Amino acid sequence: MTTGVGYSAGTDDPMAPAAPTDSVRAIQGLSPGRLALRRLLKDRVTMVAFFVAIFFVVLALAAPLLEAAKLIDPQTPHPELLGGWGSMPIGPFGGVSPQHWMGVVPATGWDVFSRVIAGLTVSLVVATLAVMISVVVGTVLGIVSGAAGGRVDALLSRVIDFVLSFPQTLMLIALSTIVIDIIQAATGAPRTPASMAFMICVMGFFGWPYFARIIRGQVLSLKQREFIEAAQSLGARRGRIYFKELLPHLWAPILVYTTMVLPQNIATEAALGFLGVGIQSPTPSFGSILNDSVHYARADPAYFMFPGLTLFIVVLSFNLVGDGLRDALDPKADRQ
Amino acid sequence: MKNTKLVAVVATGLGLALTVSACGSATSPGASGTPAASSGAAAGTPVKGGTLRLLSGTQTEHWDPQRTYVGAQIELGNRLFARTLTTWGTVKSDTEQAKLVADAATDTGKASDGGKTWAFTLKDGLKWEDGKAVTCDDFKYGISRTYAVDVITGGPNYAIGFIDIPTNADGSSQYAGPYKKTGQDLYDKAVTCSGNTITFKLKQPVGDFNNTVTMTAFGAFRADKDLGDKSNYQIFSNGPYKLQGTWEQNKGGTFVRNDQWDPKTDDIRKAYPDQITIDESLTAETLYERLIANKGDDQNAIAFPDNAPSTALANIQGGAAGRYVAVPSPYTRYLVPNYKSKVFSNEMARKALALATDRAAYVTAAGGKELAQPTNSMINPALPAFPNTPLPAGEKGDPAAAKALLQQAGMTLPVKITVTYRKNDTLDKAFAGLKLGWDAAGFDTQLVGIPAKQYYGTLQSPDSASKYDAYWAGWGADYPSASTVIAPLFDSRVNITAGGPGQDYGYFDNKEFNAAIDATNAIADGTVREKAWGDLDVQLTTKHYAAIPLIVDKFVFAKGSNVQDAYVNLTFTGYYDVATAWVKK
Repeated sequence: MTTGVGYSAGTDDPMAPAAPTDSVRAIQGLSPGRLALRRLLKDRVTMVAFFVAIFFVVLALAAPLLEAAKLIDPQTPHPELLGGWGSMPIGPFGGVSPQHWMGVVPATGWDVFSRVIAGLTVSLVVATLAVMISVVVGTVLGIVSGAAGGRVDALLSRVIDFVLSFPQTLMLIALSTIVIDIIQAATGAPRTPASMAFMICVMGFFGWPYFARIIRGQVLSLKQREFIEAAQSLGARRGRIYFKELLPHLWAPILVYTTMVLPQNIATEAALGFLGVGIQSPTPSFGSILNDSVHYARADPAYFMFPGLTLFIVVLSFNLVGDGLRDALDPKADRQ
Repeated sequence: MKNTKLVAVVATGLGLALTVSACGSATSPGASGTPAASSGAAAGTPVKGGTLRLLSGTQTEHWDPQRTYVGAQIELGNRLFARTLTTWGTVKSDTEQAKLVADAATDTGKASDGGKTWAFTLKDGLKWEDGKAVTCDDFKYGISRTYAVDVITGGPNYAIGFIDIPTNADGSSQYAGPYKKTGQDLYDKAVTCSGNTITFKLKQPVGDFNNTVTMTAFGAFRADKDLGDKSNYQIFSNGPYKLQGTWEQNKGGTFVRNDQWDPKTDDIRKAYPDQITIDESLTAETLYERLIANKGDDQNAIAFPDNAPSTALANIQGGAAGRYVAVPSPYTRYLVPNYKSKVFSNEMARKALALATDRAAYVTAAGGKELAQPTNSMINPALPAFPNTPLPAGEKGDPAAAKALLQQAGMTLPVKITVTYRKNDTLDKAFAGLKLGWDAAGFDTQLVGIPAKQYYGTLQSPDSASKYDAYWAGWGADYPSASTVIAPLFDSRVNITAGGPGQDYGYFDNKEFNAAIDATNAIADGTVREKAWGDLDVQLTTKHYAAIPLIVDKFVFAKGSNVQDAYVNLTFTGYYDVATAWVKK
């Protein structure tokens, strides 16, 4: 674990400047951050995944601009590209063409590629905001639980168990319509923002206990350390110990678990959307696209394959980045 | 909610013209060949025996004959267990027009007094499943149940509207039905039994009253078997089949032969299968998957009453070749602007909405040009009154002209509107397209998809008037007269009450129009009368903009490979007619 105490680099450091003789090697001190970065840069799979993930994030951020610039167009129907019973796309692979890289949607002629990119934005926004809720709530409660100990710890641990034992998917399915209606009635928001708010809150709510547990474990070992005892004996207040002394030592697990929960949230949104919960067509998201395309799984498998494959790559890249980060930041847990 | 309830539609010359013209543009051989494909499959001599399976994705709300108003149940009720005085004959192809024929009566009724009195004589040898004879009194009792409007709900109220019993000041009948018996003497005077002959005295001449009595609401009911509301799923048969055990809601039931039924009294029902099972636990998607796959028992199955969902259409031509049929749907899908909304109380805004409506998008979403046609008439093309009103601005609409109208009306653009539709995959896509057209015209459309179960209930709720600006709806005629389209939808007197708008969802309330409805009803000559209904339709859609007709679609049905001689009876409800179907071994 990172402790804030500097290690010195080993003699086999490849980055060390070439020494004139073997006997006089320059000894260079490296911070744990530098060390982690070095390990990360050596990990080719993670680096590829990292760039793929960055690419998707940039694409998601740029999607509204691309749409404004008419480079992608998820809304304009193309009935001229459809034909036959059921208005199916004309041409192979669901109507793939130079203009429509992933074909067009049956019965409307929307461009699948544009919808996947626009859907990526919606899905990533939902997943990211949900992770942020989980991180903030989970970290605060994890620190409090671990550091305070005693009754507070016991109570918070039971709350965590309670939340973890909820059947999340069933709850989401059962509550979605009612809660979204309530949100709409209360705020007067249209359906899509209301559904997004619902998905964010629910996924955020069910995500925090994982963070809280991990943070709590870290805090339990950290609070035996001398610097905490020192802070306590100096009379530091609880808030200072929690957030000035403990928190800076927790950034590594938070980062690792954020990158691992993010793809999980993307997948959850897709799975729930697929079941007809949450964001609904015509607003594109991975869930709503897959929900529509699965009806055509037999007649137009390409419509299912392209968005499904994209979802697969997005989730895989984020997962690999998370894995790589964990390996880099926590060498003791190295799978070698 | 008669919107989902259709009793009969005649494939007239116009209806056939629709079929032909739709097929004319067909590129795929399957579309033009559908009637032949289905008829061609029929081979061999009918044999008795086997089990015919009905696969359904629709829950049966009522089996009680007097409470039945859904076309599918009217047909099944009549063909299986509830014989009516007259009925629609069977057909030998999916395009043939069925004739009105005598069923429990010896003929199709004798009118006298200029159509104000109708008499029907029952056949001999009609029996209930317990062996007792079906009497004139059983019919008289059955029809009287309609008047118990607090118990016998859901059915058509034609009896109350037509039979000569005075009404109270609030419009309710002075006869309160066989349970309360208030005003029983009035009913006994209007409906009389003499021997085997039942005679109806009507308030005014009804030339096609013998069409009206094809509805199971005019069927017989045994007084000693009447449990009121609890009779909803109790089936007591006088037809070729009876229910085995009980009916299970959302699951279904099995009908077996009724040995008391005498085929000599019945020219219509062939009753070939030994058993008819109904499985209503399915969804339209799964049942069509199964019919396309055509495995095992599904070879003996037909889709009833669900038509193929848009997502199954692409597979059906290849996957169920020779086992499917596409027939004109009896419905017109339309949009109702709400006169109580701030925006659409303005006639120019209604006109703008009509001009900006992109019917082409709806046609594409409904399955393409071979399966849907844009329309600007409330009356279905299959009815003789169909006025074939030209589209206001072509198939795609004219948002620019609509925008000019909105500006002319002095409205601040964009004009916020909320439009509801019945939530399903097809309408999600159709309305996404319609919204584009409206938004281009300067509207700011918010779409609200409401689940099917609550849809018409929501429209009829008085709260909706202040919440929504326009509604999607669908309607089909009860029997081949446009009087069952224009009057029930736009006569404010029979619809609008404190409890809601009835079927006049948009609160269209026009004294002159109501007077015109009365004048049209009074026209004696059938052809002239139907033409007058057509003129009223044109007024609604081009003068008042009280309705914006959208499309007329086609229904596609499929059946298993062993089912023979199952034809869609367009005159009688528009589903597979089980009276002639048999199962190949």
